[in-house]
Amino acid sequence: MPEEISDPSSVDFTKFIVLQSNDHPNPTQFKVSREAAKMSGLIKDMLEDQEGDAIIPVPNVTGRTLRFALDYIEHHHNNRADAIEKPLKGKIEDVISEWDKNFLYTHLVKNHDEKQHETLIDVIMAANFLNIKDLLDLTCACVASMIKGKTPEQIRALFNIENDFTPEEEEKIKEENRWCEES
Amino acid sequence: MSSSCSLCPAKQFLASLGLPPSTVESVSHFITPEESSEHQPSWALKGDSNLKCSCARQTPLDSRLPINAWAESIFAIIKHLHSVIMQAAVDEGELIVRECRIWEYFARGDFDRLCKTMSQLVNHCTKTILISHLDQTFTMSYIQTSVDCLCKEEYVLPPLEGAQNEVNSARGERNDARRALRLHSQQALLLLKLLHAVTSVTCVTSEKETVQEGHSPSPTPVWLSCSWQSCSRNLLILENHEGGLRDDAISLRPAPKKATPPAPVSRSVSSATKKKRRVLLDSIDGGKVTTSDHPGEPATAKRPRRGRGIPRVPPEVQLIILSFLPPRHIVTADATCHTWKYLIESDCNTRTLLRVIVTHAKR
Repeated sequence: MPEEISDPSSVDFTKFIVLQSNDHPNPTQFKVSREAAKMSGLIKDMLEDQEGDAIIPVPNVTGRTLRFALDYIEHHHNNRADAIEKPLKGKIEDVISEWDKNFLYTHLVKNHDEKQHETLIDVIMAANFLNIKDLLDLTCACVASMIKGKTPEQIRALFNIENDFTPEEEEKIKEENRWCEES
Repeated sequence: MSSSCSLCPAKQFLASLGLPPSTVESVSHFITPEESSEHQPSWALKGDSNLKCSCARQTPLDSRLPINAWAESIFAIIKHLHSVIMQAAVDEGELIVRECRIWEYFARGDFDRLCKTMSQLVNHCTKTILISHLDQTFTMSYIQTSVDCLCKEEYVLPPLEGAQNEVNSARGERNDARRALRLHSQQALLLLKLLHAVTSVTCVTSEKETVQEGHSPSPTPVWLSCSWQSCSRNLLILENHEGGLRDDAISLRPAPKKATPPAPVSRSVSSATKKKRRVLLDSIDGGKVTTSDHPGEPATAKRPRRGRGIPRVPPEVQLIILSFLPPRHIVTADATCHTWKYLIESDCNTRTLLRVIVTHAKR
């Protein structure tokens, strides 16, 4: 797990950086190794640009979410995950490692309950912001796996998507897709 | 006069940000494919005869400079850069983080790094915009709209001690502005300092020329021409006013000008002014730009990121999610909402896949 710190002055900035969450008024600071942090494209670019100490604010990410993202990169920076195939055949659980499975279904989707996916969405946003491709793929594939096998109505209900089709449009789409339901 | 005077305003602007000459050349070419008067870049300041290059001189800060209006304008510009980058569906994280670094450097007074970071920020934005083939001219014309508003003093809001009815009428606008600004007061101050620190003045209004033309000495705020001391003085006032940009701070007046008679301040706000102000505030609020001054300009649409669940995920990420779906489920997703339907149909690979599926099914 990423190490939370209260005094960045004690950090050896030649080996580590400090990432600071956006929690106001008390942002959380995490010590992360430079090597691990470079899994984030954003942090990698930042580190190449600047010299000296590195306390990098991550303004769009809360401490809770940042912890999950850092947890992932600390585990995977020396142990890259296999690319997830596209399209996803079967369930995501069948193509990811035990650690990833545990990571997804213990912390991000609580107790395998698909309705409790807000943390998953938070981590998707954080992975996108920090440009952590592997994490973004993992979490997006997880959402895709949840979409599979559901009707449009079920998808809308699960992910809070507004049905913005008019009744006429909906009828037309249903008609167009009837072949798919029949097959 | 230095060689920079021979540069067009676009080049001056870019060069002042410390970009490499090659970038300045290529970007300028992109912005102003033709530099004839017929194809004047839309962001070139109106009435160029009243403008002078930065290398001429800097005029001292006009004491009635609407300091918070500057901050609004800066926010608008940065917000707009964000919205342009978001429109280009590319990562905006770098932009956001660099902004944070800039503010940090300000807090430390580390101006060398600050300038370097600002250059990188602009370079990044410019490259991103170029790569995505978005209309750079639009960005520049939008920035110019903000600057025009400042130069015309249309952002000077009525002072608090003014007539009660004026205060009341201004209150709504102040609240709008406060909502629009959103950012912490400290960030406003730092941004203001930033603009001064990183930009050598591109265009200044020549008071001499104004006088020669028979007008009274112009109280017009001069874009980016304030001296550091004057700027600091205004910042101090702003900071002392109950901690920064609070409810009333938007109407703060800068300190009285020393040894010069107070120039008349227009307290009435014309409908045109209100309209322009509204445009800028709207744009700050949502990155949405629709202005009657620039008919036909594309408006950067607000992207829905509210609520819970998938709607708060950016469309480009939603597309990644959809890309994991097998063909059969793409058809289901296509029937879920307009956003997904649009994403699927606009994505070349998925669209082709969908066509193949439909064609195959019809057979």
